[in-house]
Amino acid sequence: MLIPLELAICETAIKLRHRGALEFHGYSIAKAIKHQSDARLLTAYGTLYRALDRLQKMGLLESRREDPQIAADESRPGRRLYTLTAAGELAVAQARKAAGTRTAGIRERVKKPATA
Amino acid sequence: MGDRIVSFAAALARLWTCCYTYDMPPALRNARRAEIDSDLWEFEDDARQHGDGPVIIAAHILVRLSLGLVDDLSWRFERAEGRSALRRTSWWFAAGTLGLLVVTLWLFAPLLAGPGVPSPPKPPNLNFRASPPPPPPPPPPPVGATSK
Repeated sequence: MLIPLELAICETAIKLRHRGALEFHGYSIAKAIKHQSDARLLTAYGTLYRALDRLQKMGLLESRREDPQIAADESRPGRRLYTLTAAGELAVAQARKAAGTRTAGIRERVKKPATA
Repeated sequence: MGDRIVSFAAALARLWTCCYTYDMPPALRNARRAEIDSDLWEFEDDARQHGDGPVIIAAHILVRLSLGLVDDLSWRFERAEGRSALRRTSWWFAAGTLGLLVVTLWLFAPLLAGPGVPSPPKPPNLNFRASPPPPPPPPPPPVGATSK
């Protein structure tokens, strides 16, 4: 069962992929989530990296160290690059389906008293 | 001055990362430290490009740091599962962090509390004193006296 932040990370990763970014790093996903949710703050360091770690352990994300030469050329610290796995995409699809079922159930319950 | 505030906030974030990853397996420890280092650099670079001031950048770093403290500790506990020595140091570490937080809050409580509630205005002075009676009217001019 994914917590909301983990689901947000996976969904954002899918959106980034549609925009052509196959891989993402911690800061880029925090920034994308902030823009989507219209939040004022980026996700806290501990919360973000713990969620990324959990997603990796669950097999929904994979990660690799960036080529140190690229980071050196751009004079910045090396990034850890994450990719959403097929299992991650499946988990998002299942979560959406479950949310859809829940919404339909609530709608039905709301409608029932009116028709009775 | 401004850059020093940002450097201080970033150094605090790095110091905290060094603390909670202390005694962890080297691969895990180095990966987490490198990741936080990269995040700090990316954020600072991005914020400066957007024209954010150093105080805003430093405050953002400190807020992100403090909001994630519990998750950092939880992550350490999760990773310490099955390693009794690491688990034991994690408990000591969590207790130390809690103690440090309590002391910090105690020290900075007056600052956080702000100027406090202003004291109520003094009650109006209701101690009325009867004013002296007005002077008696001048005596009427004597009868037969004329102004001439």
